[in-house]
Order: sequence, then structure tokens, then C-alpha cells
Amino acid sequence: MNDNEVNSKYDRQMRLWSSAGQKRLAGSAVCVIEANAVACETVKNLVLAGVGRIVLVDSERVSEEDLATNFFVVAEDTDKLRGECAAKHLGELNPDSAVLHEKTLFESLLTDPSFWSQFDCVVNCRLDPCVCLIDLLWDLSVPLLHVHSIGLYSLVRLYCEERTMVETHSSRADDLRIDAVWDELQEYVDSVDEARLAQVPYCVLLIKVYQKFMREHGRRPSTKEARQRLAQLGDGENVEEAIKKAALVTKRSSELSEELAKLMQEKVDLSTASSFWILVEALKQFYKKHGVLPLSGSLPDMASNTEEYLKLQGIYRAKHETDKEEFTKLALQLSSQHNRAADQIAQSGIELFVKNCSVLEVHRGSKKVWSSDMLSESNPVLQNTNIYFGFLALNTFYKEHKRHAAQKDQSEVRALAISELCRWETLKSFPDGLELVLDELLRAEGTALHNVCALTGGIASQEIIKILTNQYVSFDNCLTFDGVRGQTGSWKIE
Amino acid sequence: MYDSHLRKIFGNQTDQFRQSKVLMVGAGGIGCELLKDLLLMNYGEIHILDLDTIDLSNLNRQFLFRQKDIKKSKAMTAQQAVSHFNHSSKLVAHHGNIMDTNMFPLSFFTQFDIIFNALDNLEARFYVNKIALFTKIPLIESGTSGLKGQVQPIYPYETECFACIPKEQPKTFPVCTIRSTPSKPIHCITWAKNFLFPQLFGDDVSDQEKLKPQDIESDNKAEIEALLKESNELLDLKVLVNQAVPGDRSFVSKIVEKIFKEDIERLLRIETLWKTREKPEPLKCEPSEIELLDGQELWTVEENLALFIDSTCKISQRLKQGPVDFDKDDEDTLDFVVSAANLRSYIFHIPMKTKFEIKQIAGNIIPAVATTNAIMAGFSALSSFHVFHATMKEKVSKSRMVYDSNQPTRFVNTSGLAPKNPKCPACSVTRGIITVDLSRFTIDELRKAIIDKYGYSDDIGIAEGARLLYDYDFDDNLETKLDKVCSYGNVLFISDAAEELDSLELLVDRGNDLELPELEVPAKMVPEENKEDEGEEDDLIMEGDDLTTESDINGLHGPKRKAEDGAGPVKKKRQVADDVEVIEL
Repeated sequence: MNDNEVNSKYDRQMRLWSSAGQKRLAGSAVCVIEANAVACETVKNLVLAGVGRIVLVDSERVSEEDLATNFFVVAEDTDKLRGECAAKHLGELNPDSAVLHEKTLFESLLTDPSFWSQFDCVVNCRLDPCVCLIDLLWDLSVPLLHVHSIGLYSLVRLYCEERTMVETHSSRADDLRIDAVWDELQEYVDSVDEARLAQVPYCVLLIKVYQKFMREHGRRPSTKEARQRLAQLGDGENVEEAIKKAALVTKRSSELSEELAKLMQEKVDLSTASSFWILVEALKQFYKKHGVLPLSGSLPDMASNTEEYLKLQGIYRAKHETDKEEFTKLALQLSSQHNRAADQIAQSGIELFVKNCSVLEVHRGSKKVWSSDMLSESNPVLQNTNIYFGFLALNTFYKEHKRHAAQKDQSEVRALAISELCRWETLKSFPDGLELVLDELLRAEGTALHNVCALTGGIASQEIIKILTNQYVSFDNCLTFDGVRGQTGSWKIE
Repeated sequence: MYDSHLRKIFGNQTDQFRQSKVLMVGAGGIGCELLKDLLLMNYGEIHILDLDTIDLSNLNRQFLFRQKDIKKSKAMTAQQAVSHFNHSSKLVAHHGNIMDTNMFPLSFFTQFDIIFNALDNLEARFYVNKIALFTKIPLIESGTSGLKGQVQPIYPYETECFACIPKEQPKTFPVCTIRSTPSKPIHCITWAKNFLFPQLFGDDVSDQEKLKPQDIESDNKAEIEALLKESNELLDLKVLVNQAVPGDRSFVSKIVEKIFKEDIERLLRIETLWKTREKPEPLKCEPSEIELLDGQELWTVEENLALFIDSTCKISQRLKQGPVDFDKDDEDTLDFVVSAANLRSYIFHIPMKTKFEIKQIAGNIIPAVATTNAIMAGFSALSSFHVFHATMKEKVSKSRMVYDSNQPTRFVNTSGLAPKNPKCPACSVTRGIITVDLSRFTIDELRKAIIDKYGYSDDIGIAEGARLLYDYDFDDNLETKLDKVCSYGNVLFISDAAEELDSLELLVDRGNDLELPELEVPAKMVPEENKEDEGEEDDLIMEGDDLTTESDINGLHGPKRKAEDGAGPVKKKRQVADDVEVIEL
């Protein structure tokens, strides 16, 4: 396929993550442990999206249950190697994606870090979260997803030490700097006389109203006050737009979002941290000096005479370029101060960083499979946490008996759950609703339901794509689906 | 066959799945996923309906289709693609338009227990919604846009229907902005796609489509005259296109000369247009040599001109084999629109756009990806098991509506089903099915029967769509047989001349006699004065400028609802589609 064909084939999704994101997917390798229904549904979406290489670690043979729940094995595959059959059927979905089968026992692979370090993401679809695997991948800095589904329930859990997200695609109010005009912009605003008022973008009207009000009252106008003044400027399309966007006069350009303020306070060792943190440090210094962030430079579409719009756009762009230049200098300085190679800081990276500097996000993960504070009464997603806990209890049972718990095992599973819970000292009583969740899980006897697997595979693959493209904000860091109530809930395990 | 595992979870409901017949409308992004999910729920009979054929850009998500299937019917291919799989459901594929009443009369729909919508456009969605209202069949509606999506189970008249919350209407532009004073890229794209393309390559322009002076919302006489003259000259160009000889490109220079130079000069002579606007500049450049252009990059004006000439020649030759319509996935037509729009932008000092960007705008493209479709199809299939509860109360109370969430604690939001909106234009109307032999009865007979049956005090008006069939000022048709004025599948609107009773909708179904449904027509509601929407939000959340941004239409109209578990009130988003139209160009 040539570039054009690739572009047409992936056109609809490149509108979400651009050609840069698509290239990253094509160059990525993902390992999936266990070729069950939820795994195959996850892989299907990755193959369709064009992930370059996917390896299925599986040593089972195709059973009747697989046929009933997994679309990617067929009757003729019965008793054959499941991973091999699934890899073949999934591979047929997209010639750009190689789906391979690894038949070495998962347990033996655990002793071989070099096998795991080749992947950009690992997905464990077993019931067992597998603490060894978590530790191993944590040390290798490979993100790990634990995904499993039984009956009407499923879970998705992300183990990753640190995720630094620049291209978050967060929507936010436009940064027009109404209250922080710089010289070139001021000059332009002043040059607009009454005769030209009808032709200029609304942003100029807002600045004029804001500044006049400040001069007269010594404080910012409220949205309502701004609207009243704007209404006196006529009835042009630009005035209408200005009235709609009047709330922008109350936005303080110097104000940082809560997340960003927190992020700027993080203490990291700049000699070893990723280059993202050098840029954050540069951002901190820039902000300290100017009281505002570097300008992102994008100007939304506004009703205006084309020439005036282009003039204004030029002024915003030029300011963005100046800010970016200063920011780059700061970053390079910091880089050399901490004895880092200058080439770690790529120009393209800086451009993206500056464009997104007001919406950066960082997630810090946890290696813990479980943390007790989640079972408190005040937990807003208690029912979903119960499901997660139910999966852990079933896993303990499975490890002991080498079979799935069934309804006859109710008392033993409850006892197991209680003793598990007692390991987390803070807990005083059996959490509300946990018994019902356990009963529902027992009813299924370890069986998966295709629908729930498909839905869960959709959620898991979406998160994997976010990790591989390093775009959008991922969930943080645990999620369960409750098919009885048709509800998902996610929370963070600290 | 493999239903022992289903039985563990669904118990005896498993048998009900087996005994049910369901209809899936749309075999695209959500449809492919949904078909797989429904098969594995063991539904007894699944009908797959789609009018579309497979395209390269479908393959990133519609996993039942391969490269070799391009141009084949989606419905048929989907059916064949799953045949290898061990299922015991009976599958029936229909390649056709759901709104075609000959292919799919009312009796077609009444055989189903559930209808699943996996559609990509509002028109068909409203249509199926209406069918569901007439037949009272539960409808499970779904849609996605990028990483967002929505599923809405609809129990007709019991819960909110698809039309209960107003949908955003497509944007339109005044003719003058498009034809003489564009100021944004979108104006030039609209001009290239909806004006220039059909003028040059469309079928002969009928009188209806011809520009009439009253269409131009301008009181500038000179401008109107200029536009009309321009239109007539375009007809001459069309002749050139039709007579194009392979290898001879000279006719294109005449086209370029006219639309990018002479027409602009003519506009320039109308000085009043340019008092407050910057004057356009007629094109003065020569095409450059082009090889393969990168659609992600911005092209120079010379490159655009070269591509304009090239694509015009290609399309002109193709016209000899048959009509060519604009299609975002047809490279020649897309190249034509991209280059023509950019050249016009250049002339009017408007920033040019990349092919990638113009494709999105001209093709009304909504981003789409397999992951979101998988999630929403999963929810859609899962919601169908609530249809099998014994009582309507249970069905409604256990069903959930699903929509995307902005909250970190929810991957998606769900809420209970809202009650129907008493002001809904679709489900607040009294309606029923009339079975009739159209060839046997006259309008007058129908009129009398309706007046008698429902107790209208005086006279009624009868209309089919926008077409009036009878009212007391228009009685020419009274003795006309019904089959001369309407056909099976039409909906008749009955209004009370005395304005005492509410209006009534009757769907015409084939019968031997004339049978009217048992209905209680309520008294007409006095419409409340529409209060002006006061005070726009004072917060800083601004609507996006991105064309694909979904805008919040809940506003003051729709019922507010709370998400579960105290997640707070949620704003409901416009129903979105796999490829739904956002702007009308």
C-alpha cells in the first residue's frame, strides 16, 4: 500500500490521532497473554486500527466454551492450539498487522525479561493479575493492562509507573489573553477605530470593552457588564459572537488549572527524569518570569473581514513564536545544566508541548493489586469496587482448587473473601453488595459472555491505543463493568 | 447450539432469544460488531439491512469486510462473512433503503420483536423511530462519533423516543456569501462542491435548480444580475465539458479563464460589494508540474491549479461512461473540489486548506474507530435482554441509556430511561394504522369515515407529507380515488378544521376494505408562548470551532436527568452517528 491508500484506509481514525499517531501504531508491538474471548476482542480492535505486531501467548487448545464465546475460533479448530488458530483468524483482518502465536508456556517466559522488553504494551487476560508479571514489567517500564471477564462482569486495570501526556486533546476555553495584551496586540487594537469596528474579530471588541471598563472602574467587568457594553457596539455578526463569548473577559490569563499547578509543584530529579520534566521545569521558569504560560497561538474561527482576521492571527502566531523561542532557550539551558544530551529535546516536541502546555496531564500508577481504602462506604463506585474484589476472591479460589468456583462453593468463596478482607486491617464489616456480586460471579462458573467480552475488549483496546499513540487521557487506573446494572465505574488504586 | 453457557447467565431467557426475530438496520461500523454480538446471543432470526456498498475507508473498523469486498453490498457480505461461524441463527440479508416502502412495507416490520438501529444518518433514524411508534416494536438506537457514543433503548410511548429531544439542524449559508462574498474556507468548499461541481458535471440543470432572482438574499440589483449572467455562461461551459476530447486540455483553460478570472472581474465591477470588504484578485498564475501530492500538506496555488486542470479532464472523460457524483472517497471528484475551493480561497485572500481538512468538511466526515463501535454495540446487544422481562414496568426500569462521560470516574455514563416528552413532534401525536384498498375508496369516503369514527365536530383537513389532499377550501379531489393521490406506506395527516381535537397521523397499509384503528383523539393542546431563551451560560465553556464537535442541544428543551450513583446532573449530547451529517453544504 502506498501512503495515499494507507491514508484512505485509516482516514476515519487519523482524524482522531493524526498521521503521527497512526505511524506510532504501525511501529508498535503488543503482547497479549491468553487467547480467550476478551483477549481476541481486544486484539481485533488493535489489528483493525493498524497496530504493527501483536503476539499471543497461549498454550491452550480450542474447547467448546471457546466456540461458544469467541468469534475468532471455529468448529474445525476444535482441539487445535488456540493461540495459533486465533492468530490466524485475527491476522486475516488486516494485512498491515502481523498477529503471531507464542506457544512457550507463560510461566517459562516470566524468567526471560528480554522477551517482554520488546513490547510497547502487555495485556494480561488471565483471571490472575500475576504479581510476578506486574513486578517484571514495572521494572522494564512496559505498561501492563490486566483485563478479564466472567459472566456479566469485567475488569480493566492499568499498571504503569508514570504516564506523561502532552497531546491530551482536552477541550478548553480559548486562550485569547483579553486581560494580558502585549505590545503588538495593543497597537493593533488601538489602531481599530470606530469605522472598522464592524469588520474586526470579536476578540478585539472584548479587549476594547475590557480595557475601557478597567480604566473607568478599576476592576474587571462581569460577563453581564461586558454584554451590556458590547450590545451598544451595533448588531454585526462579530458583535453577536462577542456577546456569546463575553464570559472570556472574566478569565484570568495568569490562572493555572488545578492539575497544572499541581504538576508544576512536583519534585523530580532532572538529571534522570524523562525530557517531559525538563520541559515542565522550563514552563515553571517561564511562568515565574511572565506570570502567564507561553501562548498556544491558535486563534479560533471568528466572524470578520478576512484581512483583519489574518492580521490578528498573524499577531497571535508571532507571539507564539517568540514565546516558543524563549521557552526553547530555557529548556536547552536546563538540559545542559543537568548534563543531558541536547538532542533529547526535539523541536517538534517543543512545538507540541507549547501548544498543549495548559492541558498537560501526568498519571502516576501503583503496583498494588488492591488497596483497602476503596471499600469504604463513601466510595462513589462501591458496587464496581466490589466486582474487582470478587475477581480477586475467585482467583484465590482458583489457585487453591485449580478449577472455577461454582454456586456450590458459595460458603467457601465467602469465607475466602472474608479472610482476604481481613488482611486489610481497616475493614470492619463485609461491604454492602459484595455478597450479591460474589453470587453473580459464582453463577457464571468462570464462563465468559461474548457481549461483555466485546464491550470490555473495546474499552481495553481504546486504552491501549491511547498508550501507544500517547494521545488523549487514559483512565486512571482501575475500571470494572457491571452488566447487571449496565454501568462502568473507575477509580484509582493508590 | 452452544447455549449451555448462555443458560448459566440468562436462564430460561435463553429460549426467548432463540424464539425471537430481530432486525438490524445498518451493517457498518456498529452493525458489523452488533451482528457478531447478536449471533453469539443466539437470536433465532436476524435480518441485516443496508443500502450501502463497501469502501476502503470502512476497513479500519468494519471487521467483516476485506479489501477484496470493496464495492460489494454490505448486508450481503456481512451475512456471508459470518456464515463460517458456528451459529444456528437464521440470517437474512436485504440490500436496500429502509425508507423504500415498496421493498419494506409495514408488514415487513411487524414480523420483528426488536429493531436495532446501527445507522449513520438522521433521516433514516427518524424514519425507523416513526415505524417503531406505529408498530410499538422496541427500538434500540445507537451511534458513535470518534471516541464518543450513545445507546438508547426506546419503548414507544413508554419512554423518550428518538425525536423527543430536538436534534441540531445542519448549517446553511446565504447564497450571496457562497456566490459572491465568501469569507471563510467553508464558503469556498461549499461553492466548489454544491455549486461548481453540479454545474459542470451534473445532469442537465432542471428549472427547479436554476438560480432565480428571489433565491438571492440580496437587494443589490447589480449583484443579482451578475450572478444570473454567470449562471447562464456556466451552461456554455458545461457544453465544453460534454464535448471534451481525450488528450485535449484546452477546454479547461476556458473554464479557468471564466470562473477564476472573468467572474471575479465582474464581481469587482460591483463596487458596493467591496466598500467594507477586501477586493478579490482574479487568478494570475500558471499551473506547475505535479507528481504525487501529499494530502496532509498545504499545496501552492500553482499546484492547486494543475490539479484542477487534471481532475477536470479526468471527470470529463468519465462522464462519457455515465454520471459522476461528488463522493469524498472518489479521488477525482475530491481533487476537483479541493483544488477549486483552494483557488477560490486564494482569490478572496482566505487561507487555503489541506486535502485532508477539506475532505472532512466536504464529506461531512465524522471520525470513527473500531473501539468505540465495539463498546456501543456491546451495550446495544446487552440492552436487548431487558426486552424479555414480563412487564413493561420492568423493561423500562431495568433498561439503561448509555452515553459518553466527561467524568474521570465513569468511562461511560448510564441513566434510566426518561419518560416521553409531552411536546415531542413524533410521539406526542396520536397515530395508528389504517388498512385500506386504495383503489376502492375516494377521498370523500375516507373523510366521512374518519369524521364518524373519531367524532370530529365539523370538517377535517387531510394531507400527505407537505401535499394537501383535502380541506374545506380545497375540495377538488373529493371524488378522486385514493390510489391516485397516495400509496401504501404513506402517512396521512388529519387535522380538525374546528381546531377542537388534536391532529392525527394514519399510516396507510394495504387491505381489502377500509378499516380505521381504534383510537382516542385527545383535545387540542393550546400551544404555550415560546419563552425567549434568556441568559446564556456565564461559564467559560465555549463551544468548539471544530466542525465535528458535538454541541450540547439539551439546553432548555429536554428533560434533565441524573446519572446513577449521584454522579450529578448530566448534559445529554446530540445523538451522533458513525458518519452523521453535521453541516449541510
